Parts: sequence; C-alpha cells; structure tokens
Amino acid sequence: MKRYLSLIWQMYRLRLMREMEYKPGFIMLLFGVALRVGVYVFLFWAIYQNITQINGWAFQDILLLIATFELVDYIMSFCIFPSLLYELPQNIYWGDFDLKVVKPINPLFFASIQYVEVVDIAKLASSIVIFIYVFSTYQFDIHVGNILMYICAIAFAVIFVSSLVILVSSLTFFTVQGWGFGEMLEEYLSLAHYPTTIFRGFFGKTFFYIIPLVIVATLPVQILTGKADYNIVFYAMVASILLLMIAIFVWYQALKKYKSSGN
Amino acid sequence: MKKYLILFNISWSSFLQYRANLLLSMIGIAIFHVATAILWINIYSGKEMIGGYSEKEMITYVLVNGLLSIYIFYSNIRYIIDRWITKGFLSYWIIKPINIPLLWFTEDAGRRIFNFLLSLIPFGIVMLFFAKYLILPQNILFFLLVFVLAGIINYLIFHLVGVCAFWMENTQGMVRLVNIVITIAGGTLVPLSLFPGAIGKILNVLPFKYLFYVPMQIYLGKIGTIETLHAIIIEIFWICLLYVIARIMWAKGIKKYSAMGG
Repeated sequence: MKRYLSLIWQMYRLRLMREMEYKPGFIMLLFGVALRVGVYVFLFWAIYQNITQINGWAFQDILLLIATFELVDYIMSFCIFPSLLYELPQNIYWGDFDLKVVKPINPLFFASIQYVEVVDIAKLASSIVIFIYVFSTYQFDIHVGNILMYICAIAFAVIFVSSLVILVSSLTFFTVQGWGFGEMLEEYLSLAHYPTTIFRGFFGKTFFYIIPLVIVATLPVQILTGKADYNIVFYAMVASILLLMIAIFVWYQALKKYKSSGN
Repeated sequence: MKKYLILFNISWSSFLQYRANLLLSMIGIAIFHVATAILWINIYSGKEMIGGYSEKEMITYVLVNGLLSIYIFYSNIRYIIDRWITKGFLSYWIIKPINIPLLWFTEDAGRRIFNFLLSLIPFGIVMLFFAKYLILPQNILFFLLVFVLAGIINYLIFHLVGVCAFWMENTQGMVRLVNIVITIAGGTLVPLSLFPGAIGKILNVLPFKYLFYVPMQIYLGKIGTIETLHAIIIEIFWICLLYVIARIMWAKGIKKYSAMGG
C-alpha cells in the first residue's frame, strides 16, 4: 500500500513540476477550471431568476448538487479519468502499453495513475467555496448522521464512476482507438449536474436502472438534506460494488487481448 | 487555390479515419442536449413564458443550438496552432510556398463540416422524437448566412488565442478562459434574455452574442429583417477587425518564431 501511495505522490509531484514550468499558463488553467464550475452555477442562477423550484429542487439544492458533482469529478479527474480514458487509448495505439505491463505493479493501477491532472484542484476549491456559501446563506437541518452517510455516498459515487471508466477503457483493447467512448461517457456523466430524479420515462429508467447516474450526485445530496429513500441508498451500494467487480473482471479479460502491435 | 482544396480533402480523409470515434462523441453531445431539453420541459410545467421564450421556442433553442455548436464551437484549431508553434512543427511548413493561416483555416473547415454532417445523424434522430416541440426556421437564408459567419468569427477568435503561443509558452489556460466566456456570453447555455439586470445588459453589449444567441433569434423569427441585416453587418465588421488583428499578430509573431518554439 505504501509503495502505491508513494507512486501516486511521485506522479503528482512530477506533473506539478511540469505544469509549473510556465506559471502564468498554470494560473490561467486553474482559473479556467474554477470558472468552468461557475458556468453551471451561472446557468442555474439565470434559470432560478425566473422560477422558484424545479420538481422540488430549490436553488440551494442545485448548488449542493453542483458542489457534490465537482467533488466526485475532482476525485475522478485527479488521475483515473484522464489516464484510462485518454492516455490508455494512446498507449495501446502506439504499442507503449508494453512498458506498463512489464513493471512489477498492478497494470490496472499503473494505467490509472499515468496522467495526474494537477489543475483540477481548482474543482475541489470551487466545490468547497460553494459548500461554504450554501451553508452560510441557507438554513438546513443537517445531522452528523447525514454527513457520515453523505461521505459514504460520495465513496460509492467514486466507485460507480471508476467502474464505468474501467469498463469503457476495456473497450480500447478491442477497438485500439477508443477515445470516442471516453468522450461519450464524459458527456453522459456531465448530466449528473442536473437533478436526475426529475427525469421520467426512458431517461428516468436509464438514469436509475441501466446506468444509474442518480448515484453520482443526486443521491448524495438527497442523503445530506435528509430527503433520500434508504432503499435507494442500499440499491446504490449494491449496484456500485457489483459494477466494480464486473469492471475489474472485464478489464483483465480485455488485457489478455492486448497484442502489443500498436496501430 | 487548388492546393488548399487538396489540403481540405486530406483533412476530410483523416477525419473519416476517426468517424466511429467522432460519431460516438456526437452521440454524447446529443444525449446531453436531450437531457437539457427534458430539464426545460420540467421547468416549464405550468408556465407559459420564461425570459420571453415559450416552451417550444426554448426546446428548439436548446436542440438547434446544440447542433450549431458542433459547427461553430467544436474545433481543434485552438490546440493545433499552439502545438505547431510551441513544438516547432511550424518549421516544416514555413519553408513551403503556402499560406499557413489559410492552411489552418482549410483544415479547420474540413473538420467542422465533417463533424456537422456526422452530428446530423444523432441530432436528426433526437429531433424526430422532439418533433412536436420544434419550430422550423423562420428565415432560413438569413439564418444560414449568420450561422456561417458565426463559425468564421469563432475560428478567428481561437486563431488569435492560438497565435499568442509566439509570445507564451502555453496557451491552454487562455483557451479555457475564452471557451468559458463564449459559453456564457454567447448564449450557448441559455438565451441571454434570461439574465436579469446589469448582467443581461453587459452580455448584450459584448460581441459574443453573435455566435449563438443572435443566430437563434433569427432562426426563431424573434428579430425582424432590419435587425437581422444589422446583425449581419456587425458580424462582417467583427470578421474584418479580427482578420486585421490576426494578420498583424501573425506578421509580428513569425519574426519572433524560432524552431525551438515560441
């Protein structure tokens, strides 16, 4: 475990050094990432200037949703997301993945940390600012139990998204050029900025049963504000763990297909 | 001109290689816009008008804007120019009898048109499902003209950002900032009329509204012929101004260029 943590730290340090080579660019990138979070706040702020709620979701609930999404997204985009969805397809395409599989380390872990996104720390900072703003401006009846459950829900959200990323990255071993799946997944996940419980019909079923996007941000916010149905919480836990097991199994099966032939 | 057409063809052929990946990306974008449209249907439950837009107008705005954004916004030129200058790829082309900014424009046009045509597949299917909400273009000729001009303005904005690589080691941060300004001030997310007070007034003064908001106003027939002609003249003015700035920056930047990058 210590070796793995040390490796993450080394990758982070090296990436940070590289990014900091040109400091004005790095600062602009940080600012850009923070503003990107602001885009959704700005969107919903404009909408809520004209209405008071969307299917029971007030503006402060939406702010919590955005902050939660950014928190999960930060944990994901720190390394797993860019490494598996964008770096891995490149490695497989050029045949560079050989260097990863011969190392005395778990190949999935190594593939997941090869690209550490340091500027995304601005997402975490934005998320914290939104939380502070919401809790200092609006009244919420939140108990310690809700907070603990919320932290667990975030952990399950991360497991769920990681599993989806691992599953999608597995496709790269079959298709060689698989970045399109990554971009599609990214667009799909960005829908978690919206309260997924407002969707009915086909989209409602998809977001709840097929690819349960509800786990990413909507459910943690419902837990935090005490509006969650605990049957759904149990369902989310089971779904996340099950999906992770399937994803890891599929990834190792896909790895067997790797021929090192590149493009 | 023939050599640029050949380059356009080469660009087109290279994107054909990635058609499956590009199609998947377009499907992802279409899904996002469908969900946004559904969000708006929920927002409108029991309401006639929001920000001067009826439910049908808003759904049309979201879906048609999504399709427009693929032609106007989804371009790689912002990264290509930066890479060419900072990594020194420019050296290979600079010795050839070719106008490099025109080469970039040709390649970018190939990508935009290819992406747009490809996106008609997922967006066409989506629009069939939302047919009862959709409004047909009120002034198709003016709309198409404004739409093409908006694409050129967007290209020139990112061309200018990319060319900054002659003076900066990395323009990625600037690219992100400009992206966000266009997303908000261009009316990509929501019509600018939804923004109240001073913010709404500021956004209406900025030129970015000619990228998405104004073309959509023309599409929906929310502005008359005289205002449309006025918008076209302003767009042409912006194209001329940005073009002149781009020429000056290129002339100054190329003198500063070394094969080691900017």
